[in-house]
Amino acid sequence: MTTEAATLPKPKATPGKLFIHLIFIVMCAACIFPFLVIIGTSVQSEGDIVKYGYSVIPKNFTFDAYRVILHDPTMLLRSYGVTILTTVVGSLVGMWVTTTYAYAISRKDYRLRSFLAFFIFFTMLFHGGMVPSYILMVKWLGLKNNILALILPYLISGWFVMLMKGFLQTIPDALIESAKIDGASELRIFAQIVLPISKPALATLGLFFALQYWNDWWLTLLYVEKDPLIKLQYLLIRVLKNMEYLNSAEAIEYGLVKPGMMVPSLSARMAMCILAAGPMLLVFPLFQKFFVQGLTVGSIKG
Amino acid sequence: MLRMMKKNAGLSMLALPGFLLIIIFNYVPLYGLLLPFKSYRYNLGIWNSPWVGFENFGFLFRGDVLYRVLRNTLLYNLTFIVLGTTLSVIVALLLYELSRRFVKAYQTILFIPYFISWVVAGFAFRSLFDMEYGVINRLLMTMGEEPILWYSEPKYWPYIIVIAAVWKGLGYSSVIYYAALMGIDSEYYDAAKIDGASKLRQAFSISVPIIKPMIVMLVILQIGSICYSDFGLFYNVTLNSSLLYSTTDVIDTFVYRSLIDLGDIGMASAAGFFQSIVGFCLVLATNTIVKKINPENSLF
Amino acid sequence: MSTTKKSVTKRVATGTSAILAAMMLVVGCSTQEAETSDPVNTPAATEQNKPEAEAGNETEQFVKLSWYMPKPIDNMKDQEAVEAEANKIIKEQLNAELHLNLIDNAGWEDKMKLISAAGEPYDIVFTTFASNRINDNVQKGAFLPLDELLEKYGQNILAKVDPRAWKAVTYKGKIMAIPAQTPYSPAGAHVFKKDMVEKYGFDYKSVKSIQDLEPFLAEIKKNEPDMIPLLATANGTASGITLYDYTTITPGISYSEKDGSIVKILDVPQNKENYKTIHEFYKKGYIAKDAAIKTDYLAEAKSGKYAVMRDSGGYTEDGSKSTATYGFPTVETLSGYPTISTNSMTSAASAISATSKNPERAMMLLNLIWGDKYLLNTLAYGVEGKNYTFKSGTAQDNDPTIEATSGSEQTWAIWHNWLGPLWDQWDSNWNSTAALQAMKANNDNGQASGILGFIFNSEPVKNEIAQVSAIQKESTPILTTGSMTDFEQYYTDLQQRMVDAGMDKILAEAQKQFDAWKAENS
Repeated sequence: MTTEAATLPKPKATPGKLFIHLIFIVMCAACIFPFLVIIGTSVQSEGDIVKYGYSVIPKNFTFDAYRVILHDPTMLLRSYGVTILTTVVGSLVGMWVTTTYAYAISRKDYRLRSFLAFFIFFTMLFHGGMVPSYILMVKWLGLKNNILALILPYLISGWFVMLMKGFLQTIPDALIESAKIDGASELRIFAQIVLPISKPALATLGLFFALQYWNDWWLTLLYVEKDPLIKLQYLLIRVLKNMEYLNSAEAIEYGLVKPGMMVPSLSARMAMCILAAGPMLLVFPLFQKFFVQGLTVGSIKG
Repeated sequence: MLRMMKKNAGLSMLALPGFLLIIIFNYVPLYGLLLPFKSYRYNLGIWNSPWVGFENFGFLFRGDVLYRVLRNTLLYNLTFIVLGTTLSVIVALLLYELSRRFVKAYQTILFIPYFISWVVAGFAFRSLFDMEYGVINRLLMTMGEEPILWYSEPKYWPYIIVIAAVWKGLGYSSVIYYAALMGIDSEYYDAAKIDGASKLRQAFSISVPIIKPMIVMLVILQIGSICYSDFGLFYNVTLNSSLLYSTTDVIDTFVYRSLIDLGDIGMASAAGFFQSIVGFCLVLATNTIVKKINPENSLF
Repeated sequence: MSTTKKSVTKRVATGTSAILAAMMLVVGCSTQEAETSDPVNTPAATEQNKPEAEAGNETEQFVKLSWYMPKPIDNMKDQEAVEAEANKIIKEQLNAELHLNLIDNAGWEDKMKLISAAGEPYDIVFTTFASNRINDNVQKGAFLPLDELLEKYGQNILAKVDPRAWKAVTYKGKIMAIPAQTPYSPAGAHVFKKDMVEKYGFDYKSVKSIQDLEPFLAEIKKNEPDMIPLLATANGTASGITLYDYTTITPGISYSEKDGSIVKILDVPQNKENYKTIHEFYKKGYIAKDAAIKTDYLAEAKSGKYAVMRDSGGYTEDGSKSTATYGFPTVETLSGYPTISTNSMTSAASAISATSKNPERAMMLLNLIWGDKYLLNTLAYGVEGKNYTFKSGTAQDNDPTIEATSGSEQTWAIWHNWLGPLWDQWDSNWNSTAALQAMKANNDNGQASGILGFIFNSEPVKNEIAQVSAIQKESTPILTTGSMTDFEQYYTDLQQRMVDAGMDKILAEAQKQFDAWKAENS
C-alpha cells in the first residue's frame, strides 16, 4: 500500500559529491583493514604469529584453523540452526511487541503514555541482576535448556522501544485523525496505516533485533547446558575463553596442559570470528531494501 | 467521554503484550536491587540474607582510584556522546545525498566493525601498534624515527580509544539517523529546492530540525549510561596494559580488577547500583530541562 | 500539549501506584523464593530421619546422581558411551546412575554461583581453592559437612587421601570437601633452550637463584640478536621469583615458614631483591620491551624465541617435561620446592552439595571411584577401543599400560585428580607410572607448611581486599617484567599504595585469625 516517493533526481558527479565519496572511501578503508588482518591471521600458521607478527598476507598459508573448527561440522551446523531460529522468531515477535508498545506511547492523546514510557525506561537502568533473572527463568519458569530462554528475555527492551517511539513520533497527527474519523479501530490504524509508512523504522528495528539475537551469547551461557542448543557466538566465546584459560600460568602450573592436548590457536580464534560474522554481513543488504523515502503528505490528503 | 476511554483501551490493548513481558522479565527480578545491601547467603536467598547497609559500597569510595576512574569514565562518555552523535548525523546526511547502490555498499562496509568483537579487534589493532611488528612503528622506523611503545604511553590513548569507539559504532548509529531521514517528507526538499536553497542549507534547515527529537532522545538515553563503559573496549584494545591506566581505567575495569578474585556478588551489584543511580538522576534532571524547552523532545 | 499541574500529579500517582503494584508482585514471588530455597534445616540433619540411613535399605531405591565439573577438553563427544560403560558398574553396585554436567570454562564460575543461588539440586561438584572456590561455597552454605558420610560410606577415601590433606578442607571442625590426590608442591624449575646452553657452554646446573642467570642472559643478548634472553610476561616470569619459604595467606600477606611471622610480602627484602633483579634485566634488554602486555605464556615459550624460561608445571631431571610441552629440546634446573600449603592441597577437590537429595549415595559413588580402578579409569580415559587401547595387560590387571587418544582425535578425557585418586591411574601416555610415583614421593617428602589447615576468612576485610586486589592486578605485570622506569620509586610507591588501600588492616586481621587458630590447634 506504499506509494514510493518521487525519486531524487539522478545524482550528478559534482565536486561536492566526489568529496563525499572520498570521505567514505577513507572511512571504509579504516573499516576493512582490521578485517583483512583478521582474515589474514585466520589462515596463518600458529607459530608464525608469535615469530613474525601480523600480516594481511601470511608467510605460510594454512587452513589449519578452519579445519580445527570445522572438524565437527554437525556442531557448527546445529549452532547455525539454533541461531537462525532464535533470530528469526525473536526478531519477528520482538518487533511486534516493541512496535505496539512504542506506538502507544508515541501517541500524544494516550493518557498512559508518560507512565508507560517511564515504566520501561526505568528498566533500562535498573535491573535485579544475574541471580534473580536466573532464579526466575530456571526455577519459576522452568526454562533451563529450553529455546524459549534464548528468546523471551530480549523481546522487549527499553532501548528499542525508545528508538521506535522516536521514529513513530514523526507520523503526522493528521494521518491518524483522518483514520479515526473513518471509524477505524486502533489495531486497524496500527496495522494498515502506521506500519506501512514506517518501513525504514521497521527495517532499522528488524536489523537491530536480528543483530541482537545473532550476536547474543549471554543467554546461552546462563541457561543452556546441552550442546544442541548452543548458539554461534557462544561457540566463539567458548573457544576464546578456553584458549585464554589454557594459556594461563595456572593451567601450565597445574599440569592441565598435557602434551598433545588441542589448545585452540590464535588463528582459530580469528577463523571463528569470520564464521560467526560472515552470514550477517550477507543478510545486511536484505534490510537495506526497506530504506525507502517516506510518503508525501500529498498522497494522504484528499 | 466514552470515545476517550475507548481510544485509550485500544492503545492499551496494543501495548499489553509488551507490558506483560516487561513485568515478568524486568520487574519481577527487581528484588535483586536489594543485593547491594545484603550479605548474600545461598541458603537464605536474597530476601532473608542479613542486611549490611552500605558496606558493599566501601571498596568503591575508599582509596585513590575512584577519582581517576570516575573522571575517565565521564570524560570518555561525554566525548562519545558529543562526537559520536555529531559524526553519525553527518554520515547519515552524507549518505542521504548518494544513490542507492553506493549507500548499500558504504553502509555495509561501515557496519563491519560492529561485528568484530573487541577481543578480536584489540588483536587487530595490535597489528598497528605492536612495538616490533606494528605497521605504525615500522613506518616510523623507515622514516628514521624512534618506535613508540604505544602500550606503555598513556598520553596517546584518549585519542586511540575515541577513534576505536567511533570506528565500531559509527555504522550502527548512522543507520538510525539515516532511517529517520528517510521518514522526512520529500515535499519539504522539493519546496526548498524551488526556493533555491543549497544542499547544505537544506540539511541545516530541514533535515536536522526534523530529526532533532530523535537526536535529543538518544542523547538523553546515553546520558543514562554515563557511568557505564564498554568493558571490551577498555580491556581488550588496551591489552589491559596497566601502564596506561591513568588514561584508560574506567569504573567497569576497576570494578572487574577489584572483584574478579573475590567473586562477591553483593559488591559487584553495589558497583552497578552506583552506576545506575548516578545515570538515573542525571537523566531525570536532563529530561526535566528538556521538557521545559520543548516537551516534544523529552523522554517521558 | 501543555503540562498542567493536574496531569503532573496524575502522572506521579499512576507512576507510584504502578511501581507499588510491581513491588507487591515482587514480594509475593520472592517470599516463595525464600520458602523454596532450603533454610538452615540441611539435609544432613534430616538424614538421620530418612529410613535409607539405616543399614541395608541404603540402595533400595534407584537414584540418579549428578556431578558438575568444568569441561576438561573442548570435545567430549563420547559422554553417552562413557557414562553407559561406567553406569554398568555403578548400577550394579549402588543401584544408581551417574550423569556428568560438564560446563564450559567460559561459564563455569558464573554458572556454579547461579546454580547455588537458585538452590538447584545436584549431588557432587568439582571445587578448588581458586575455582568454584571452596572457601566461598562453605561460607555461603553451599556444601554439606562430610564427616559422618565419610565414616559410614567412605572407607576407601579415608584410606587413600593424604592424612595431612584433611586439614586443608576442615572448616570449624567439619570436613567440607574431599581433597584429590594431586602433586602438592610441583617444583619450580628454570628451563633452558638446549642448543643455546650447549653453544655457550653454560653450566646451567649451577644456577641457584635468578641472579645466577645473569651471565648467560648477557651472552645471549650480546651474540644472539634474534633471540630474547629471558621470557617474562604479564602473568609469568623467571622461576624462583616467588619465595619458596613464604606461604601465601591472602594475596599480599604471607607466612614465613622460617620464623612463623606473618608479613606483607612486599616488605620481605629477598622479594624486593628479586624484583629489582628482574628490573635490571629489563633495563639491560634481557626482557622484551613490551613484555607487560604479553599474556600468552605458553605460545611465547613455544615460539623458541627465548633462551631461558620457567617450568611448564613440575621439574624433570632430564628436561623431558618441558621438551614435550614446549616442543624443542630443553634442559632443566631445579629452582625450588614450595611448601605444601592449604592451597596446594586443594588444587582439586570434590564436594557434596547441600541441595543434594541423595548425599549417602553420592558418598558411596565417590567411595566406589576411590576403590574400583576400572571404574576410575573408565571415567577418566573413556571406553576401550574408542578412546584407548591396551598396550599390555587387561582391564582385570592391577596395572595395565594403555595408549589413550590425544590431540584432535581426543573425544573424551577427565583428569584423574579431578575424579580423586590420581595414583590409581593406569600407566599411559598421559602420565607414566614412574612419573606418578615420582609425584607421590614428592608429596610424601614434601615439607608441609606450618600453617597447613589455616584457612583465612576474608569476609571481615573484603573491602580492603578488593582495593588491594585492584592494585595488585595493576602492579603484577609491571613487577614480573620489570618494566617500571624507576624501580626504587615504583616499589616504595607501591608499598605505600597498599597501605593506603588497607593492607595493614588485612595484616592485622590475618594475625588475629592466625593467633586464634594457633591457640585452638596447639
